[in-house]
Formats: sequence, structure tokens, C-alpha cells
Amino acid sequence: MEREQFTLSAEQRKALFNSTNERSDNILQKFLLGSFVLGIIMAFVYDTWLVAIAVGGMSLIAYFGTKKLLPESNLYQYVGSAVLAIFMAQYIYQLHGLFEMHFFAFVACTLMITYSNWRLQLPLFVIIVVHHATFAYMQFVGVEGIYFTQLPYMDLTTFLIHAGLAGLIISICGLWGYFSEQKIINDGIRALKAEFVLAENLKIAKTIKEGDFDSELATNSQDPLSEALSEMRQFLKENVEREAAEKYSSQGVAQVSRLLADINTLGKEIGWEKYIDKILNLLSTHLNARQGTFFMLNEKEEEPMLQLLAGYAYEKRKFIKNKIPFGEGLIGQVALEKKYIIVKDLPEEYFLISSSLGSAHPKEVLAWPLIADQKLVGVVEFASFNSFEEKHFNFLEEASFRIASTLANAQAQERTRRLLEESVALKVSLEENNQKLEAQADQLKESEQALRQQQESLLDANTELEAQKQELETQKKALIEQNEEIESAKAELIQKAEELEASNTYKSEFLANMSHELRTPLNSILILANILADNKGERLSDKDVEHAKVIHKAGSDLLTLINDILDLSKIEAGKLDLLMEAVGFDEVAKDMEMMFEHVAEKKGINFEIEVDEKLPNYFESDRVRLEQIIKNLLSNACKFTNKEGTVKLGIQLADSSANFKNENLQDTDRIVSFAVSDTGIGIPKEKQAKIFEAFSQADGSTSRKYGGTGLGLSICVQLSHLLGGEVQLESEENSGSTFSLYLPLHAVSADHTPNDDQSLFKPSIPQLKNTDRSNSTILIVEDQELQNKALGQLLNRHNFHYSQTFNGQDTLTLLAEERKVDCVILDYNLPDMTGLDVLKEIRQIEGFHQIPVIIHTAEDLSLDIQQEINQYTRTIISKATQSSRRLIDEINLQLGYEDEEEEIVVKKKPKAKKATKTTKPKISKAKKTGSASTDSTFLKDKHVFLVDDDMRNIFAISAIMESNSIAVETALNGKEALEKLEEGLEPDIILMDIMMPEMDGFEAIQRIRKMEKYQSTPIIAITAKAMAEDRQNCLDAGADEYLSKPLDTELLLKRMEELLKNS
Amino acid sequence: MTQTQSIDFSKGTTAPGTRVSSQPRIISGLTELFRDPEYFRLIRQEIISYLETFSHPKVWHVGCSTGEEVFSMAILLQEAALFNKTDILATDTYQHRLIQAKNGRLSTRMLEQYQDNFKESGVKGKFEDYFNTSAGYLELKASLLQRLNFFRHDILQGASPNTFSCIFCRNVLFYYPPEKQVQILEKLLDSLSPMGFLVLGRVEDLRFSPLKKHLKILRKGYSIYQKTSF
Repeated sequence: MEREQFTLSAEQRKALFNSTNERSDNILQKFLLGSFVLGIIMAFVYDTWLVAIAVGGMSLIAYFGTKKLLPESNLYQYVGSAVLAIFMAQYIYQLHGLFEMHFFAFVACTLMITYSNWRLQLPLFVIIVVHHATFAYMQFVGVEGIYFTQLPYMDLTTFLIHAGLAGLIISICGLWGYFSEQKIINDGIRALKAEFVLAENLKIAKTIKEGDFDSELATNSQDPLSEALSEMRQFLKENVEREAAEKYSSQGVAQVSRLLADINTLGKEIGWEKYIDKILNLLSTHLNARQGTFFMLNEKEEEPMLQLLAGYAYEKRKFIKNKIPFGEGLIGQVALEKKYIIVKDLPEEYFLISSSLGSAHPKEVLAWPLIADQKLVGVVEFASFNSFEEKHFNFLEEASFRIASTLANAQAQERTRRLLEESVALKVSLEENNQKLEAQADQLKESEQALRQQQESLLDANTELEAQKQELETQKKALIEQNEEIESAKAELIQKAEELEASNTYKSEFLANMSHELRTPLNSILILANILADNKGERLSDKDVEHAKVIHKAGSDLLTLINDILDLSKIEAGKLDLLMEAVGFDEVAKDMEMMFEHVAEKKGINFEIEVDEKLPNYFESDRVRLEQIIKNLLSNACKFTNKEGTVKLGIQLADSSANFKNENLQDTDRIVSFAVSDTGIGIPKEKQAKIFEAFSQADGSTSRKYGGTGLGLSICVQLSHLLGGEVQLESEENSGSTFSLYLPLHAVSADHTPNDDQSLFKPSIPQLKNTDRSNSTILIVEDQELQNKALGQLLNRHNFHYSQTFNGQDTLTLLAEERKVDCVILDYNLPDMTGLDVLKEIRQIEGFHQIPVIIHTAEDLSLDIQQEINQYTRTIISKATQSSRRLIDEINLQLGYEDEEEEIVVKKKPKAKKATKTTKPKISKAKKTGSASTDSTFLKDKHVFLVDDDMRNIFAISAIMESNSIAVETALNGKEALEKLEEGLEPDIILMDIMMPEMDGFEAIQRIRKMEKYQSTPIIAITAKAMAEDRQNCLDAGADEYLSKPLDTELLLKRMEELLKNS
Repeated sequence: MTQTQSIDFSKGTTAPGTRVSSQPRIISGLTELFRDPEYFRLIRQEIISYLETFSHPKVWHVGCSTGEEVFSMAILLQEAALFNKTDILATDTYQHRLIQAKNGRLSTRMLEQYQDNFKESGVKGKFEDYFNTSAGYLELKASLLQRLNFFRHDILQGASPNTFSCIFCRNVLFYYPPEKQVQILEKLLDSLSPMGFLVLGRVEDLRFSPLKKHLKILRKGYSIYQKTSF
């Protein structure tokens, strides 16, 4: 408690001193009266009446007068003090300066102490000092007889001693007075304090009595009683609050229970939703919540959802979501955890918590799960502007459990009820159906009756019909007879058709056989003529060699003729399948240019190609067949045109109104024409129609002059029909002719769209898919002479033209001379410069910026050099066993040739024989094409077992083998071959003809493979049968290789060498 | 691989409405050393010697599983003295298989089978030249193992990692639906240098594939192809 609060007011203070004052006043009054009386008595002794009465009387009057006039003031006390000093002076005067009278001053001082007011000493002191000083001064100045006295003169020292002592006495008395005063004041304050605390405690007690536990009370912590009281109050407060909370909870629960008890009656009466609404209202009101929502678990959906059923103080449409999945937002989280969540200190943007209670800014939001039997029934959420407290939770705990249980029960009941209703409804509808059925049965009975009547009348009609039926039956029999006749005619027809089919097959079989029969002797002729022309033994005269060459040429022509016949018969038999694809006009033009440039150059005629710009880039056709026609027409044109003449191929949009025989062309208005015109001999009008017939030329004598089979144009016409077009001829004798191929300009169908913009496999050069490799020239740059030659032979074997250089400088000079080169094989290590430098230079030469260059290297190039090379060419080939294969692969790819070999043949069984160590093939002088010898001595002294039924063939092949120092053993058919092998023949390689009597090649090969000894002996199958499936059949039978007649002797030797090296 | 041979993932196996991931559900990890020795014989005879003509061959094993095929190829390359200049990348979708593969360890349970395969593949030398067998398991020699690169890579999602001279993708395609197969094949082709080899599983025949025209078959019945386009 602060001191200030207990400063005393003037009145209080006065009151404190009342008793003291009274007591002292009483003493003083008596003392003053006594003093007056003493003065009178003194007057008797010293005859000072006047002084005694006047001064004493005046003093009394002053004192009592002041006291009377100003009773409230202390002034009279001061007057009293002064009067006491005056009395002392009076006595001193009356007794003529009796020294002892000074003691009166001490008495006065003491008297003043009783007032407990040190200030009262002051008037006494002042007057004594003034009085003594005045008299001392008067004495000093010489006034005599002041007190009629005998008192000695008072010097300064005496005065100071007097004054000092008087001061000391008065000071002590004043000090005592002060202590006394303070004591009184302190006592007074203490009393006041005690009184106050008491009053406070009384007040606390009173509030407790009145049951007020909350009002702020000033409790004195120094006062134990007060503290005890406050503790008592806290205890009482908690008790009362607990009781209130329990009461709150129990009341709420009671209300809820009452409502829940009504679920069946009230729920039905007002509807489920309103009932839930009522529950929510009750909860919200009881929780003093501002808003509330009620979500029920909805398990009907695919995923359990919380469905909003009721809202308190909130319009439903304002709710953010009516359905909330588990885990989403507050509600979903509560549903997931099955524990309540309270959110306090909600942010302003309360939306961020996706609570169902929208945009309001409540202080707290509480979401509470409804759980019955540990299963979630629903979630309630409340928002309040107040804080949720313990009692709310207690209440919700209890209430939610009851609500949840009741709702769960109700739901279960509802389900049961619905099932019951459904079954009842089913029963009712069943009964209805039953009734309907009965009614129908009745109806049926009636209609049955009616039917019976109808039937009777029908019976009558029936007899009538019976008669008609018999009539019909007779007609039917006649029809059946006719039918049978037709049937037998049909069967006959089918049989005929089958016969036809068979004869067709026979025909193609015949053709195949015939081509075999024709090609086999032809094969021998060609090979032998070649050998003769070679004149290895130098025994023939030049003329003989010339004859041999003529024989070879004639044989070749005959072979072409046979091929043409085969082609034509295939077309006529409908066996030629077309491969429709996108064909580019430019590509066709380029192909033709490549093929005929040389021919024209050689013959000294001009060759021009013109492509109409109005044409699209592509059209749909069979490219191979199309080019076959144009090739044929062009080669005819070249054939019949003399030196200085002109051959021209024009590709353009044709006039659709022209006169076409072909229906396809009549129907379409987009037609392309490929016109081949020449300035040759021309064809007379009357012969123009005839020349399209097979084996016909304008003049029977022309064939002798110009060569050719006369089948070309027939094939062209047939092919043009196949492609949906036709060939027309315009010609004038001696001024030239124009053959025009007209084809419908079919747009490219989606299947055949050329994938130009497919970045994936964009070819850098057009895929010519040419097969005539002799159109391409490869430049070999290699400083090692042997290697250079070997590469040349490799290219030769694959029918490429090639040129050779041996260092970098020559290469660049050669290329700069604009020699026709399509691809360069460049050795990396050249004597004068590195391959990389040569490569860089080549790229500088006009026309060779893009030319394919293949780097061929024996050493491992570092990655740096590789990367530098790769800036100029992609292809680097390290010299290794397979590098020749890769070289050909890469050249084919770069120049767009088809692969020659479809697949690589791998021996299925491991070779028992040890691979013979091969010496590097010794390379002899490169031969011109067609040489029937190998450049290698590898095959020398090898043993070949030749199985063929045709003696001519045996003779021809033996001749080749012998000229290469290869030993030959022969057998005339499969059977004989097997016998010889069983006898112990050990050939290095077997050449097996397929078409043989007794046992054919397939069977023979299969049998040989079954013999353990010959499982791995290389076998090359040889057949003239130009049918596609043969190849696979041969390989399936166990052959390692397949070659067709007429035999390319060089290829045969090469294959033999390869197979023997591999084994 | 033809359409008819492919497994139809759109039917029957999943309930309607459920999400079907583009990942095949099970990718078999079945593998062994020189699995299908005839295959490796062919690879040894044809591919390895051809790879010698590449100055810096690169080999990619797609779906390498636990590495047996990678080890087999490494052995063939080592035999041809080609191993040290060849870059070998092996990828799989499943990390745990890669971890196993990186160990270079194989159970000895199949040792006999492995040795038979090894012999039948025609590899010269001894099995022990390439494996340590002392510790209760087979362990690829460290000189081989340390040059093998195993990485996690999803052939469907991931980009092509490089241009390769030879890509193995055996018995991976048929776990994917046909349209994904085409996607994967296009990616593989794109990752192949011209004249590079694509080694597929035996049944994964490209005869009827639109991509056939960019490839030639090395040997029928083996599904080993060589890229003949740019």
C-alpha cells in the first residue's frame, strides 16, 4: 500500500491532536491563571501592582481572547507560548531581575513540549531572545535602572551564553515536541491503515458472500488474511465454473438427446434435411457459434464424400463446396483423421483455408467429426467470434457421439425400411402382374374359341388349296430337272476352269523348264565362247577369236530374247505384280539421263530430256515397269537414230481430249505423257500397226541391221495396259517417230506418300535404287599398289567402274579435270599429304562439294582427327577383315544402289576343320570384265565335286576349273554323287545342279548334310530355274550359296573362294 | 514384330477407368550369359568383325537388365581385341537391376549352363579368362567391368543418347503396345549409324514393319538387322 494514500488531511491531523491539545490546554490554562495569581502575590512583596495586573491581565486576555475568537486555529497556542515568555519577563521585572526567575523559562519550555508541536517553542524563544537582547543593548548604551536592579552589567559573552543555552534548551524541547508530534501522526496513520484493510477484507468477504468471483479486488499482499481470502475466492470460482460447464454440457446434451429421441417422429414430420438443420441449429446456438455446417458421409459415390446437409446462419448457395472428398480442406482432414481440428487466429483471407465457411472472418473455426462405433458418420463445422473452450469440447464430445450413433442407427433403419418397401412394392407389382395374366388368360380362351371357328373355315379352303398344290408339285418337278441340268453344266464348267488353271500352271512350269532347257546349253556356249575369245593358250588366230566373240554376242542376244519371252509370257499369264509407289518425275528423268547419256555420246547423237513444270512432283505408278517401258522406247529410239540425230524424252501433261482406246484414259482428264521422239528412219504408215505385234519390226530386214528381238514394243504395250495406259505412235518415214506413253496421272495415295519431310531418314541423295552399277565410277586413292589393285578388283566384282590414283596431288588434279567420279575411297596415309588435307581440298573443287568420300585407314584415328574428318565426311572405315564388305555397303548406300545380297549365310554348325591359314591373295594384273579366271591362287589345287546331268555344263565348268588349276570330280545325278561320297571322295567344295533326273539337287544336298563327314563341306547350288522361291529352297536344303544359270564364272570363283576361306 | 504377335494391352487386363501407365506392367528380367548361343555365334561371326571397320565402335544395350548380355558382348569384343576402343552403354528402366549389373557378379547356380553357352557361342579361350569364380559367385574381370557404363534410361521417354554402331534391344519391344513399339524402333533407328546393327529378340520380326525399308536383315530367323539408310 502506498504511503501517499495515507497522508492525513488537515482535519484528520487536527483530530489526532485533539486530546493532546485538550490536555495541554487544560494545563496551560491553569498554569497561566496560576502565573497571573503569582504576579499578584509578587506585587504584594515588591509593590508592582500595575505591572502584575496590567501585563498579567493583558496576557490572559490575549490568550483567552484568541482562544475564544479563533477556536479552530492553533494561534492561541502560539499566543500561549508568547504569553509564557512575557510572564517570565514580568516576573523578572517584578522581582528586580532575580536571576532564578530564568527557571521559569525552562518550565515554559517543558509545558510547550506537551503540545507535541515543536513550532510552539519558537514564540517563547524569540521573545526571550528579543527581551534579553533589548535589555542587554539598553544596558550597553547606558540606560540604567531598567529592572531597578542590582544585576551586574551583562556583557556580550554572558549574553551569548544565555542565548546559546536558551537556544539549546529550546532546541531539545522542540526536538522532543517534534518526536512526540511524529509519534502521534504515525499512530494516527497506522490506525487509519488498519481501519482501511479491515474495511477491504470486509468488502472481499462480502463479495464472496454475494457469489461475485470476477470483480477486480485490491488485495493486500502483505496481509495474510487478505491473501487467504483471495485464494478461497479462486477455489470457489473454479468450483462454480466447473459446475457451470457441467451444467452447460449436460443441458446441451439433454436438449440434443430430446431432439434425437424425436428422430422417428419429428424426422418424418419435417423431413430429414430440416431435422438435421434443427440439430445443427441446436448445436450452433448452444456453442454460441455464428455459423455452422453439417456434412454427412456419403458412401454411395465412387469415392466416399462428405455431403453438405445443413447450414446454420448461412445460405447454402454460398457454401464453397457441397461435396468434399476425404483429406480436402478442414472438413476432409477431420474426416480423414477422425479428430477435431480447431483453427485459431484465422487470417484475413480465410478463403485460403478451404473451409466450407466462405468469406466470413470468424475468430475461430472448429471442425468436429461425428463418429459412431469408430466409424465416421459426418463432420460438423462451426465458426465463432469467441474462442471455443473446454466446456464446448466436452459438450461436443458427448453430443456428437449421440448424434452420430443416432444418425448411424437411422441410416441403418432407413436402409432396412427401404429394402422392406422395395420388397413390398415388388410383391404388389407381382400381384398386379398376376391379375393381368389371369385377365390375359381369359382373353386367350376367348380368342382360342374364335380361332377354332376360323380353323374350321380354313379347313374348307385347305381342300381347295390341296388341289392347287398338286398342280404346283408337278411344275416343281419339271424345274428340278432343269436345275439338275444346269448343275451338271456348271460342274462341267468348273472342271474346265480347273483344267484351264492347271494348264496355266503347266504353262508357267513349261516356261520355267523351257528357260532351263534353253539357258543350260546357252550357258555352255557363252562360257566356252568366252574362254575361246580369251585365247589363253594363244592357239587361236585373230579370226578365230573374232568368231568366238561373235558366238558370245549371238548367245547374249539369244539370252536377252529368252528373258523377253519370259517377261511377256509372265505379263500375259497375269503373273506380273505391280508395286505402286510414289514416282518422282525428276527421278525418272535422272535415271534415264544416267542410262542413255553414254549410249548417246557413244553413238554421237543428241539426247535431251524435258520435264513439264506444271506436273506435280510425284504420281502413283510402278516405277520399275514405267522405267522399263521408257528404257525400251529410248533404246529403240537410239537404235534407229543415226549420228548427229536427236533423241528426246518429253514428260508433260497430255491433252485429255486426245483419242484414247484405253478406258482408264477416257475416264480421267489428268493424263501424263512420256514422249520419246527421234529423228531416225521412221516407220511407214502401213506398218505402224504391225510393229506392236510380237517378233515384228518394220522391215523384216531391219533386225539384221539394228539387232533386237522385236519383243520390246510388245512388252511396252502390255506393260502400259497393266499400268492403266497405252502407247501411241506418230511417225513419218525418214523423218523420225514419236512413241508416247500415256498414263493416268493418279495423285499419290496416302500409303505411298514419299516421306520427304521425315527428318528421321532423310536421304542426302535421291534413292535411285539403280541396279546397273556400271553407271557409277569410284575413284580409289591408295598409295600401296597391291591394295589399290585389290580394291579395283573388289569394285569390278561388284560391277562398278573405277579409276585409280596413288597420291593426293594426282587425285586433286584428276578431280579438277572434271572427270566423272561418283564416290572417292580415300586412304588416310598418303605419301604426299594426309587424307584429311586431301579431303579438305576435294571439298573446295567445284562439283565435288557433296561427293561421297570414304576414308579408308589402317591405323586407329584419334578422336580429335575423327571429329575433324567428320566435318567433311561421315564415313570412316578401318581396314579389317570385313572392310571390303563395309566398303561395298557404304558405296551402295551413298550412291543409292540396292543390296546385291539379301542376307548373309551363316553355317549353323561349328566347323570341325581348322581354318586354313590363308596367305594374302597374290594379285595378278587386273583383267577386263568377263574374264573366266580368278586373281587368286587360293583355289589352286582345290578339289571340286561337280554334280550336273548336262554334259555340256560339266564340260564348260570343268574347263573353267581346269584353267584355274582346280581339280574336278563329276557326277551325273544326286544318286551318283552320294555313292561317290560314300566311297570316300573328299572334295573341298561341291557344286550341285538342282534339276536332275533320278535324284534332284534338293534331296541330294539334304542327304549330304546328313552324312557326318560332309556336314560342313561348302555346297553351292546351281539352277536355271528362275523362280523366286528356289533360292530359299536351296538354302533350306542346306546349301551355303545359290547361283543361277547362266553362270557368271567370276562370281562362281569368288563365291567358291569365300566359302573355302570361311570354312 | 508384327501386330498379331504383340500383346494387346488395351483389352481385359485392366478395369475400365483405371489409369493405364505407358510403362509396361512387367518387364521380365530373365537373362543369362550368352543366352541363345546361336545368336552370339552369329554376332561373333558377322557383327564383331564388321565392327572392326568402325574406327570407334559404340554399342548400346537397351533393357540390359542385370547385365548378362552386356558381359557376353564385352567378352566377344575383348576376344576380337576390340573392347578397348569400343564405348559400351547399357541402360535399363529399373535402377535395382542396374545396381546389380554394375556389381558384375553372377550367381554360380547357372555356372554349367553359362559354360555350355560360352562354348557353343564359339568364343575361344577359357571361361576363367573372363570371370573370377573363387568367391562363391562369378565376377566379371575388373578390366572388363570398369569400361562398361550402366545408366538408368527409359527407352520410351528418354532421348537418344548417341549414335551407335550396334544396338541390342532383345525381348524389350514385345512388352509394349504396337504404337509404342514403332516409337521405340524409330528412336533406335535414329540412334544407329549407317551400316550399324540392330539386334532384336528372335520373335521381334520387322518383316511387316514400316521401318523395314531402312534395314536389311542379316539372317532370317534371328532378327538381326543392318541399317541401310542414312
